Amino acid sequence: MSRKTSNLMPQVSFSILLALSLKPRHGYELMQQVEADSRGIVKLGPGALYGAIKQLREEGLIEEIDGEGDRRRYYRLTEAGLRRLGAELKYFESTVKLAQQRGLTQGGLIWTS
Amino acid sequence: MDELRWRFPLCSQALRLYPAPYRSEYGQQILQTLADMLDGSKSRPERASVWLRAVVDLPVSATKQQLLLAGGIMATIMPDYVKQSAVFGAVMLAPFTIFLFLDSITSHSLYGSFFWRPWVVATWIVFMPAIALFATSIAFGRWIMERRQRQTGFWKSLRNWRENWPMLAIGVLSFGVIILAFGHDSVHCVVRNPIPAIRYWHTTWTCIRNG
Repeated sequence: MSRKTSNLMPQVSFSILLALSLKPRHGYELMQQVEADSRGIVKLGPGALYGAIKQLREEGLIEEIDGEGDRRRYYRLTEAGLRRLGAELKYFESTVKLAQQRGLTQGGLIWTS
Repeated sequence: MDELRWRFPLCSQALRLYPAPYRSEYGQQILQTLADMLDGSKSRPERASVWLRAVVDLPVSATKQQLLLAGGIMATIMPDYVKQSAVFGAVMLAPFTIFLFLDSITSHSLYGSFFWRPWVVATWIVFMPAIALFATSIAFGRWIMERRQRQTGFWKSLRNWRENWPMLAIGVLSFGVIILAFGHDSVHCVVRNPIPAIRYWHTTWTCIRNG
C-alpha cells in the first residue's frame, strides 16, 4: 500500500474518531473513551482534546450536535469521518499483517535471530 | 459559563492565552470538561493529577493554537509584500549573523581575512542591515497606509502583530544591528576591528586613503 507519511492521521485524532464510532459523546466522555481504548496510553488534557476536535471539525470528519438541554457539546462522526476511520483501520490492519508475516508479533525480532 | 468562571478563576484567565476566536468557540467547553474531570475524580491524588495535566496542557495547547492562527494568517491574510520584505531583510542580515558566528567559534580567526577589510565589513555590518531596515520600513509604511484607508489607527495597526510580525521583527533586528555597530566600543580600523572602523568612519577613511 503506497501512502504518504503526511496523510497519516495523528494518534489523538485517530483515537477520537475511534471513540466516536460507538456513539456521539461530549468532551469528558471522549477523553475517558480514548483513555480506555488505548489502555491508558493516550491521556488527553482538555486543551489538547479541543485542539484536535477543532481540527477534525474543520476537516469535516466530525460534527457538533445538539446536547438537548445539556450545556456540554456533543460530537459525532460524519460520513467522511467514518470513511476516514475505515481507511486508517485498513492501513493498520495491513501493517499488522505485514508484521505477522515477518514474525514480529510473536516477540521475535528479525535482527536478533 | 459564569458558574464555571467562578469555579475556575485562574483557568478562566489562562484561557486568555488562546486566540479569541478559539476561546469563544471552545473556552466554555474546556472549563466544562475540566469540571467534569474533577467531578469524576474519586481521591485527592486523582484530582491533583487532573490539575497537573491541566497546568501542562493549557499553555501548550494555547501556544499551538496561537501558532496555528499565526500560520493561517500568514498563509492567507498577510500581504505578500510583508513576507517578501521580511525574507529580503533576513537575507541582508544573514552575512552579519554568519560572519560573527564563524568568527566567534574560531576565536576571532576571521579578523585578518578578506571579510574584515574595512569596506567589506562595512557592507555586511552596516550597509546590508541598512538596506534591510529600508526595505522593511517601506513595506511597513505601505502597510500602515493601507490600514489607514480602512480607517484603522496607527497604534491599532501596529499592535496587530499577527499580520505584521515578519517585517517588524526584521526591521527591529536590522535597526538593532546598526545601533550595535555604531555603539560598540573598541579600537580603531588599523587593527581591522570592524565596529570602530565604521564608528570612527573618518579615521577609517583616512586609513584607507593612506593605505
